[in-house]
Amino acid sequence: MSAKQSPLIEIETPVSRPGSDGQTLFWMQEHAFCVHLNLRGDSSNPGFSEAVTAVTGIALPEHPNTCVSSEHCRVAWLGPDEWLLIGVHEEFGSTPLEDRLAPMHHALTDLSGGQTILRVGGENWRNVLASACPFDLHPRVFGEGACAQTVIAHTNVLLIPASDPDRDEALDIVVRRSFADHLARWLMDAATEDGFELLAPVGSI
Amino acid sequence: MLQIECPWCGARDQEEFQYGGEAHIVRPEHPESLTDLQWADYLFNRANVKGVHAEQWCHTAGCRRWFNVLRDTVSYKILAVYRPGERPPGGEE
Repeated sequence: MSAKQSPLIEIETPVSRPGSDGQTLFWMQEHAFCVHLNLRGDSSNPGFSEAVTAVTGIALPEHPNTCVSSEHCRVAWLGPDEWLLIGVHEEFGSTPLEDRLAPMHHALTDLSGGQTILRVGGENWRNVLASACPFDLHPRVFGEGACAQTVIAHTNVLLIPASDPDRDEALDIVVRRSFADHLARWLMDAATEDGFELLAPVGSI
Repeated sequence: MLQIECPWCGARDQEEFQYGGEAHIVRPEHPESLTDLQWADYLFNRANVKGVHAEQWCHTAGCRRWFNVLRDTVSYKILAVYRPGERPPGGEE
């Protein structure tokens, strides 16, 4: 088995490039190698929701565009019968859930190698993203407990508001592996004026 | 640019959606009994209305669900949005 490689391996980190007025108002950090599981099934089937709660400790969010978090995992609504489970630790595997869901109609797909998380923040992160994202990121309509699938720079993404333990308010961008490099470079370009800091990737949330 | 109300996700920018043509076209139950002309009519011929048009959209960059939209093709105004399987409000088709 070959070693895991971040999709942003070709982008050198850490980098600090202050903007035109010497300030740094945007930062970005990859949270690589989280466990991503795509879950599909019928949440009106009581056994289905119970299985998810038993394994994750989280009640399946049934309201569109909401996300529930616990210490170990996050569950984001993707569609009326579709969710994304993001596990913080590598031990968060699909097997316990697969075992419980086996008797019922479902699909559980491990996407861990297929997508990554870019965490962005800083004073001007909303302005930087707004230049290529049609979604309204204002805290009035998009805050904690929400999530949204949209596009940034023509790339499909899932946005989850987060709070970074070291740097306060942040946004997690879940992006396909093959688009991660494009998106990261695009954001660096968009943040040139505001000044940005690219932090060394970390392995968990 | 249109702002479309996804029945699940709410109002989003048109950039997140994909157009899927006229809605409520039913596939003939016994295609083998149709003439070529009738089959071609089902496959290719559309109403192309000037005015209120029932059409399909998919929220491709969001929840990836199909739904129906009543849109005025003259003013581009969206009059109603409804889920698949539902009848268009007002009884139009």
